[in-house]
Amino acid sequence: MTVKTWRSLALLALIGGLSVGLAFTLGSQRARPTLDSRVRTVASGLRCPICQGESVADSPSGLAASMRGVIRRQLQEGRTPHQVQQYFVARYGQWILLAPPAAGVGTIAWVGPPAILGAGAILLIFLLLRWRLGGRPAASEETFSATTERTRSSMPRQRPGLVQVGGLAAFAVLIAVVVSVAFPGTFRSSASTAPSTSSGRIGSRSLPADVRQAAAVVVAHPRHASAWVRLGSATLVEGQPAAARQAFRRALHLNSRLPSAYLGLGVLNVGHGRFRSGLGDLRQAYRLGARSNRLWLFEGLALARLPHGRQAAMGAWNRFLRQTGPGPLRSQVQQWVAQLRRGRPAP
Amino acid sequence: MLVAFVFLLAYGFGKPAILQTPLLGSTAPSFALRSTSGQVVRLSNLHGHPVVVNFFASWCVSCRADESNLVRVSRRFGSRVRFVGIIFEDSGRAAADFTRQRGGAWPDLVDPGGRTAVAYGVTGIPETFFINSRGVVKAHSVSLSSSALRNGIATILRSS
Amino acid sequence: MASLAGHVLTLSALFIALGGAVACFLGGYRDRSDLVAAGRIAGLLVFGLITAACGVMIYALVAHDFSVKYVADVGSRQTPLYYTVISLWAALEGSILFWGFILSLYTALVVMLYRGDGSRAMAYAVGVLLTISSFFLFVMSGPGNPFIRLANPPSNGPGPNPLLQNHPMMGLHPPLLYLGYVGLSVPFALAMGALLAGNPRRDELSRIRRWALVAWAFLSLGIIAGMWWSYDVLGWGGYWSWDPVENAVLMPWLVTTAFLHSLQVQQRRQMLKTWTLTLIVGAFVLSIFGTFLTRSGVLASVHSFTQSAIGPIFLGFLTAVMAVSVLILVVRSEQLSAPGTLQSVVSRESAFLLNNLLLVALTLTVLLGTVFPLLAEALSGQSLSVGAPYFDRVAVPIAVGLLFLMGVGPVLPWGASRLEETSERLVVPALAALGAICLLLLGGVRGTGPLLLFGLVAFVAAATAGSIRRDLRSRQVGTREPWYEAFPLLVRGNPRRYAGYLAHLGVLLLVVGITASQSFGTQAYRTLRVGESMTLSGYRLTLAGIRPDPQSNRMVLQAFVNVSQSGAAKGSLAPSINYYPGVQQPVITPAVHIAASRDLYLVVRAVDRRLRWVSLQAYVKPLVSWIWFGGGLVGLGAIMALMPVRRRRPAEARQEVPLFAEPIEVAP
Repeated sequence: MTVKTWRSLALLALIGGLSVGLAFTLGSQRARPTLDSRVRTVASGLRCPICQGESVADSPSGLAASMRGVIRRQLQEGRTPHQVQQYFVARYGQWILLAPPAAGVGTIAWVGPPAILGAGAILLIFLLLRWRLGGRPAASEETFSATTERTRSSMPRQRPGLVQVGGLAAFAVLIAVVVSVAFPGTFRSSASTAPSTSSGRIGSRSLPADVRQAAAVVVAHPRHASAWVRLGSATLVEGQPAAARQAFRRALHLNSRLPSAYLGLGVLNVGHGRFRSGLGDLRQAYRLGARSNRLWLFEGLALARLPHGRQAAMGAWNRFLRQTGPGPLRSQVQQWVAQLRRGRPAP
Repeated sequence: MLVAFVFLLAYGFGKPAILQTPLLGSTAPSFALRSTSGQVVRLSNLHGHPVVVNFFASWCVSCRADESNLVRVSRRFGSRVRFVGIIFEDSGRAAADFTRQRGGAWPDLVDPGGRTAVAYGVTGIPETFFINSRGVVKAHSVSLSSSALRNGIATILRSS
Repeated sequence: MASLAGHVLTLSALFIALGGAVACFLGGYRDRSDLVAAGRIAGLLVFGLITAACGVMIYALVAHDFSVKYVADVGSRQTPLYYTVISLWAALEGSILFWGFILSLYTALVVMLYRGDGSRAMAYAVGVLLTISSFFLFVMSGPGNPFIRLANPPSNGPGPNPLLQNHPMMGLHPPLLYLGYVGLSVPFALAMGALLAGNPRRDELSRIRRWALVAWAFLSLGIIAGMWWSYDVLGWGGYWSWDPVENAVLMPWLVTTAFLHSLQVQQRRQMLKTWTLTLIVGAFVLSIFGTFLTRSGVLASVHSFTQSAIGPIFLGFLTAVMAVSVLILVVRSEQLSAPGTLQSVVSRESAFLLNNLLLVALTLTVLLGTVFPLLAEALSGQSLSVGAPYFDRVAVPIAVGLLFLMGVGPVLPWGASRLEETSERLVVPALAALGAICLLLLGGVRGTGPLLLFGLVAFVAAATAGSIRRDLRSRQVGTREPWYEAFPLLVRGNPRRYAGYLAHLGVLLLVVGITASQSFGTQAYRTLRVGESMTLSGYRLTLAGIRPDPQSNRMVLQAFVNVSQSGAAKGSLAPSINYYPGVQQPVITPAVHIAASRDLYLVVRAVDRRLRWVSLQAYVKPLVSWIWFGGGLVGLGAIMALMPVRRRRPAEARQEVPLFAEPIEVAP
């Protein structure tokens, strides 16, 4: 590089440095931020809990306005922005912050972009060096087009090689695996997004009040699993096992640890003769904390129908009896227990 | 790497939708609010009793549908557990009308500026917090089904 | 009746598309031009059928035929006619129908424009387009069928989402965006076709370039229209929120931009062919990913359609597209290897390479941020959010780097670099940057970030102007024309370069507008009774009155605000708050006064039930209109780049091969 080059580069550096320096010194914000702007800054880092991704600063909702009021108060009391943010995290969870924290899983988010840039830069340098040091000189237009014509005309006659076929087969298998992982559950329960009367799944046009009420709650809160469980129970009582099953499944899809959903499925299965699977569901409900007397009743019914289950069935029914007050159901179960004790077959 | 990406997207379908409140297991935020009938209720005064705090509003469909459960449960457990309602983004008058229709004998508190709702991390209604006699939030429910209410109450009774 | 007709139309279109695709592929493989011709006719038929299906749907919407499920979901007797017609794309199933329509339009265009091209590549390309059409036709006649017939039609429907009825831009933003999004299928199909047939030829690549430009133009305009809609309709005073669906449109746009730049290296130096083709394939894959995001509910967004089972189906399609294209690219990559070499590290080629690096890194960064919530939950069970603060911190530096390159790139020569010359050329632009910063400081502008950005903009503008001046001078040496004659001829002689400069200018205006409105905006919030006023940045806003305006589909409460500046009345604005029946949250309509230098933006946040007071939020945002103007220039630049180059005489052409050397330097 000549002297002239150094001179112009130095000049450039000088001008650049001067510009940046001016911007940083004379150009820095003079005015101290007002309370309003501080509130806005903190609020724009928080996510409005009931909106679709808007920040608390931008959201027009009432809850966001309340949150802004809380922020304002705390800043006035002298808390730092970080403390205010932590206040919200303690009450809503980490997701209330609009930028992931730098710790734990969040490091991926912050380390990722520089890593991508760095990797790309290394690749670029590598490529540049390779092209600089090696390689034939640029082919002229004519030879290049000739090459492509040759490759074009000879291409289609080739039969696919073994490697290519094998690769294709492997790809196909991989795709099949991925698709079968992506499809379960959601595809099958696709129709159950909302219990619309027009599709007629809940049966006749005139719905009993319980089912209608349960359906209304589900429509209002389609992502609340317990609403679906309630719908399932209501439809089960009305004699719509298919709809009930879909509702319970949907509840489990939303919350896989909901004991009432397993209880409902268990009752459904046992009531329709699927004793083993029903038993499994009831046991799962028990494991998740269900203790209602219905659990014992249906567990007993299932066990009584299975070979070598008589003893366990009696145990289950005894537990039912301990939890149930006097009534027709209690006397019925007492009869069944007596029958079992005498060695008679199950009801 | 593309395959991993597809798996990640597929995972998105299995994601559960309900968020758990981080307040579980920690001390319930205190409040001192005035009820619709004018009396001041402080959470600190209720220390020593299990408390059920229910956020609601008159315009909430599912509150209307399920508040009867809450009334029933309060009648059953009212001697052992204190019930408190907090009005969320609603006018005091509309909420008072609603509670008059609903029945139930617990105070409904007005929350100026929504500060208490924010303090509890409320994201929607109905939202109910179950606090034991030592002032720790032990259970939380976004539905007012009888089983949810009974489970919550059982939890706080157990740990009191 | 309408349901049956529509369903029959889409179903038959599906079968014809499938058959056509098979015919094209088979015909191309076995050199059977009759089969290929059959495939072409299938493409035209599909277009006709889908157009008819759209017509049926629009008729059903306008006639309020609620026995059609889509109309029952989205139509309403109270909705005005304009919004009824555009509710064709207001909800999920209709939007897929619309997508299919645009795709079939593009397919028919390709068939008609290239009907003289009997090559295998074109046959395969039409086949690919028909395959993509079949997928969308499958979705719209199966799982996402808008024509399902309801046994018990309701007497009235809920109407489209209120946010989609609030502004006429809703009639413009989705079609523009779809034209761009779907338009990416065409260069993808052409690229796939050319790859399947062998090594893509030069004219095939320029064809791909032209269609990519068309898609890119519409995408750019669509994104700007979306920003305008967000600004004018949503009432939060902003125009970009890094929403997952916004990102999903931005990513293909970034990758297509990278493609357009890297194609220049490919065309001049015959290098980077694989990479260039990978970029256009990536753009298409990202467009399918975007459509998957909107329709699957995997990530929450303002744009999300309701969740449905279509999500997994789109995921399957996305996977298939990724797999097939990667496979083909990998298999063909050996034949595509570049014979070129680089003469100097500091040259325009490397600037383009750096440009690609930054654009792809930006795309991957946006992708990471968009799917990060999902990733975090999968890895740790924790629910995390990613929003504007993250993207601002992470994406803006890369964008600044790109801006810098935009200034340096045109100054660098192709091939061998003369570092001395380049650095000398950059001195004046650097001085321009310094001068701009000084001027702004003198004018009272404060803020380190904005000052640096404005300085950078001045740098780029000066560098580009210098470049143009040098070209003009060297032309004038030969022809002795005055500059006002020489300049148009210069532009006409090399429209692609000047179109690029125009687009760059548009980007500069965009940057200035965004920086100014973000950094120097002010706002105020007051509750006003009738007659009271508030002040903001020299404006005095007085509430003149509140008026209820019942309309057919909503109740509008308008607040009339008189605006005066330094005592002189400037007019009045009427922001409103709209109550739609059956929807709990009212929809706010801001009132914006647009001027070249600043926008006055008013939003009603709350209204007293007895109409005594209004809570008003006012924003003053400088230079927002520069954003729209800059965006328009970008679109204009794209259209200009599509203009055909004036045919050079063969002698001239051969002279410029292979390096397109710089014009001879003349001492100033």
